[in-house]
Amino acid sequence: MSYQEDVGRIIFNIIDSKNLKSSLFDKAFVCNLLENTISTGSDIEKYCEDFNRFFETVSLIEIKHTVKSDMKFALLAVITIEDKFNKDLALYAELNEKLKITHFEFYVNEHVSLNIY
Amino acid sequence: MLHELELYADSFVKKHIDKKLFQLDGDLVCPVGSIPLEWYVDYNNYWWVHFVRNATAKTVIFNKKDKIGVVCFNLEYYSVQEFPFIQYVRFNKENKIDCVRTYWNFDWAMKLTKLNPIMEAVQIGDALWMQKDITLDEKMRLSREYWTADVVKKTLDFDKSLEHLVDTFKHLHRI
Repeated sequence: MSYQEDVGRIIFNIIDSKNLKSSLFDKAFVCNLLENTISTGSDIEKYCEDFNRFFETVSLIEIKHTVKSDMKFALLAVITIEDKFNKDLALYAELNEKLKITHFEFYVNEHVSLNIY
Repeated sequence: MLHELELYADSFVKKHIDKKLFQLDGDLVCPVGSIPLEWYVDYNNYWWVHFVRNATAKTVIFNKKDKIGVVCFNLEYYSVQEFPFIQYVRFNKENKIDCVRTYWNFDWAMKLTKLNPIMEAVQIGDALWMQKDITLDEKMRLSREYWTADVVKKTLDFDKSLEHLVDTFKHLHRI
């Protein structure tokens, strides 16, 4: 399996399993968009808890685009919250040679038109 | 097209967006609405860039097959240390940008707004530029008036008088 496929596999697993594990991170900088703060490596455990709690409300994930380059990976998707609301999602991650996430940004847009993908 | 994407990212760093990069009837989509890319270019050049002390393009990655790129930015507004956002950028067959989707943390922006009047001013301007019943010329004129007013030019450090400016601007734009 190529490196890029490995990167993709890790990120897709996060999305598919709705389970972000702190063991995936390596001193990561994280833009935490769930608790109105920007977290750093010291908050990884709490970040994962918040992320996974948020993902419990997600009933459907439709991946629209992926962009990969070397150790960097971005994913854009539409998520459905509690079978009611669609929201736009962007996820970006950088990994090191041990496939640990060193940088992670996760954005959910609240007020977007979703008809232009 | 990676070159064009890098030019686009660099234009934010240089704080001047070039219309030549765009298919101008394409769309910008962001958390507060959508506008044609022509408006988006003028919005940046006439309004938004003036609030930015520094913009950094941390990451530029490109998917050649789908002609799609992603740029991760970090902004430093005047008196706001950090505002990260991501843009998805799509190119057409002529290598012009025909769609930009902007992702930022809406709650984070709201929190900053409560802490800092500059963010409120940015959002008031954003609301103005998103309005479809105000012409592009009118938006450009209002933005130019705002930024060329003596009181604004003299308070670019966004001191205590900004709150008054924000009120004035709200009234000016009927928002």
